Amino acid sequence: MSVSVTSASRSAWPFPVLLLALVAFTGICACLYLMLGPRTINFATILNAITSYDSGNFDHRVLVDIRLPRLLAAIIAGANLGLSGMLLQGLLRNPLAEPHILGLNAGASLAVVLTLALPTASLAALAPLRPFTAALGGFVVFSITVLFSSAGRGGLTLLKVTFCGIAFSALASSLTTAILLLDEETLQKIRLWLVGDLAGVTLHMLYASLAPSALALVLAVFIAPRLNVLELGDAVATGLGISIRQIRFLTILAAALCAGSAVSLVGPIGFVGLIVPNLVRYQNGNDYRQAVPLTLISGATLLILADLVARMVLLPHEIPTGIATALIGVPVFIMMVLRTSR
Amino acid sequence: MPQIEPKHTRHPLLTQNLCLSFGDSAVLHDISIEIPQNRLTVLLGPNGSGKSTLLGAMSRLNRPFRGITYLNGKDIATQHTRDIARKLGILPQSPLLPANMTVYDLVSRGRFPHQGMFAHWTSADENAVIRALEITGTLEFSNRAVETLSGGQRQRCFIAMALAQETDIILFDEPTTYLDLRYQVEVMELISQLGTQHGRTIVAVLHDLNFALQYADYLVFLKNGRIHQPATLPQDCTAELITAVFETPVTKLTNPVSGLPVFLPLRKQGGLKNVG
Repeated sequence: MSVSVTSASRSAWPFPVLLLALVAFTGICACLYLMLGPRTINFATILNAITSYDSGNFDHRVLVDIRLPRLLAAIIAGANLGLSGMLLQGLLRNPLAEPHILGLNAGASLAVVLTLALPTASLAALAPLRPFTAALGGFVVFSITVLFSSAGRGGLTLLKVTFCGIAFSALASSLTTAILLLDEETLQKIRLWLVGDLAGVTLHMLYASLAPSALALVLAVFIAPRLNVLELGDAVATGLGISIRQIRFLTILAAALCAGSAVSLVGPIGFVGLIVPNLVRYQNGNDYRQAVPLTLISGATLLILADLVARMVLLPHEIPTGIATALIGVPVFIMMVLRTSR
Repeated sequence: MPQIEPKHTRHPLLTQNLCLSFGDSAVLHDISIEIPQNRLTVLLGPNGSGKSTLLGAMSRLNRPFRGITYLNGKDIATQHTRDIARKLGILPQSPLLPANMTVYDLVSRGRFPHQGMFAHWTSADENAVIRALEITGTLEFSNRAVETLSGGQRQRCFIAMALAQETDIILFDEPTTYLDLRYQVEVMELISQLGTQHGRTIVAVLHDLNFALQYADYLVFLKNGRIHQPATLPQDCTAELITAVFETPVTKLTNPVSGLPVFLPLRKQGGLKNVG
């Protein structure tokens, strides 16, 4: 049952060194992200914009109004997508589990589109709640998936969860499409968002995503040592004092909050949640307590880089971020599948 | 034999009238057994007799629909799962083995029930892990990945994990399955020491009748989900008992070294031809 993607040995880097190195690397990527674009801004100007912001300075406006919110969105969404993938992989003991594949992102999208399409004016007030709406959508769809795949003989198996996840993901996506076809106005508003894109992220969207992200992080810190034990099987974990039902519920909840925060910010972006936890496991081994901070930072870094690619590759045009992560993610995913089934 | 004392203090683990079913099919009928303290008790019986299910019911892995398991005198169903994990450990039949996990890493997972929300790894944790590695003879390869070890070594690592949990009671579900003779001996030598030398109360489900007879302090025989024979000393087992439990005619021999009984199945016909 326990599938292994990585067979190589653990890195020679101890955890604190790895953590510091990653933080430093993320800092460099963030600086590059702020500097590069249709208009190149040098590092001194960035420092200047922080210390003495001048609203009349065009470079300062570009940095603070456009690039900084987008950078923060990449950090929050990337960290959340990574964490969501880590939690699901731990829960299902499968390195190929991912919020996008298992239907959490599709459920979150459906919930957002549903609330947008409803013509009630009071729903405009729901914008700050959108991450929670999205989280609820992801939670409902994945809970249904888990309930269905727990039924029948043998209980919850990986294969059943994956098939049910793909099926319900497709169902949620179809419903989303159906709503959008009936409601062209909503479609025009969120067409880009549906592919997964960081363009157009606003500050109030960032603020709204903070609460669910923080909640998910607190849950993840609680869950991580339990996933360490759950790895050895449900019976061993129960014997060591874990309530399987409780840990399943909390993990799905946390993964849905992560996916909801990310999707509400940047749309359903795939592959980050798949690749990042595997890279972390490859570098640092199986300890989920250490994997939490490493996954957060690596997820943020990966999405910063992917969005940088999306902004720079066809300059002066941009491609949607979700397409950039897919371009990077598909070959990596295929490589991982091939190595797993070896 | 233990002296006559009140039941609850004499037996850290006992069940009363356990009934358990999976779906419509009843698996355990009215099981009441008392597990002797600081001894190795082996559950024996044919396939489907309910041995593993009983072990699960005694360790809250399986929920009986009637009857009670008492752990240290209290109903196990009313105790918090984490509190139970500090008193009773269970090594299930096929634990999963994560890739790239070192022996030390695996054994240290046994400390989970002793670790608080924010508590760091303490010297008590460290000592428990080292002691478990020493007892099981796995200390010398504690930095190796478990998957690179032989079957017997691996099983010793899992036993070390159960020992690191530092519970007075440990249950083993078929700890020697899939192991070669040599490793079966290795594992049984280790488990049988835990009771008398290390003061643990051990219950094991075993498949191999003769192995059980050589190592167990007590044997409990199950058949069709019922207790066929409560705790019995190995030397008190008769050919009639074994024949009745396993529905196969056997003959009783005596191990010339240990003096303990050994049972051989009788062939329906044949055997050595042209004797003399």
